Amino acid sequence: MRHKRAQELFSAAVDGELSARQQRQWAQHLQECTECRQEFALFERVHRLLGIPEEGALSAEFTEQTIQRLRSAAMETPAGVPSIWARNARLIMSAVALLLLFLWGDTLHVLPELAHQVGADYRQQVQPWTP
Amino acid sequence: MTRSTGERSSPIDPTLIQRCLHGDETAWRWLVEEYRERLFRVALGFLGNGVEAEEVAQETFVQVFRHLGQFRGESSFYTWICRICVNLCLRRREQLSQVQEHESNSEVAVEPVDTRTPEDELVQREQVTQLRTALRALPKEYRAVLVLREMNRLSYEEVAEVLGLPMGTVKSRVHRGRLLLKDRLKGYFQGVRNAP
Repeated sequence: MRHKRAQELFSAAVDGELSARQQRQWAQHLQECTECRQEFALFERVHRLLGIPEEGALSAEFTEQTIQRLRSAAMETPAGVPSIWARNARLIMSAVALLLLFLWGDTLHVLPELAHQVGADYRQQVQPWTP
Repeated sequence: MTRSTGERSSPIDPTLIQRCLHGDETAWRWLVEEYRERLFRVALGFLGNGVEAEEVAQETFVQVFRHLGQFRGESSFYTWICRICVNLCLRRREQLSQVQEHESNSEVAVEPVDTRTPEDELVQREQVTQLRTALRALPKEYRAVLVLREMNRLSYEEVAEVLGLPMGTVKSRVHRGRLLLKDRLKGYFQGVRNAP
């Protein structure tokens, strides 16, 4: 096994994901290669130290403060609903639909008049031939 | 060193979600107590500050409250709320780094500690501090996977689910992140003679 390949397997080694064959070859390389052995020792140390729990604890009031914030949020919107828009989505959609209907109705009202005018223009342009 | 998979992903009782959606405060209290510690740990890993981490953890619950109706059970409940928490942490980090912009791109200045101290614990604590500083200076794509995988012990599958990335990408980012930290701290570690 070459240096590069051995170092590519560092993560698989600390995660315990090497196959038996890989493990054998990799361990043999490390035994023979001081550089890779030292590099792996540092790599393993980084992995181990990162896993040490970070110092810091939740305050005793965390749950109560959170529940208080949830109560305030509930005053604004019911649970599971993202915003006032979503909450009133049906109402808003209905209003939009009504507006569209109104505009469309108005157009319909104008349509016969428009059709009549277009027809008149057409008849004027294309006069039937009369001998 | 192998970490078990799925230990955090036990499915949540759907009736509990329903109770929360109906505004049952007892159910909410249970939810907060069940997940508060883990969310706080995730936030602490990203932000490195207990007060900020608590604020983000609380905000996560508020966001969960607002969007719970959108939870479809396609992922585990924990990874779903964890994703919300991670997004809030990244946003908060960006706000903070705008204030201290130089921090994110610069190499970490690591000074060898005074190795005359005989207490291994003190040395280790110092090493952890240096490591966390280096971790927070990594580009965010590496920081995110390392915080979830190394500090919060999520499986690769869970990290992939939380971040919405393919598992291969997560694995390669974890590996490269570990290599980056190793290289950045090499000089420091070699200066510590009494390390355990």
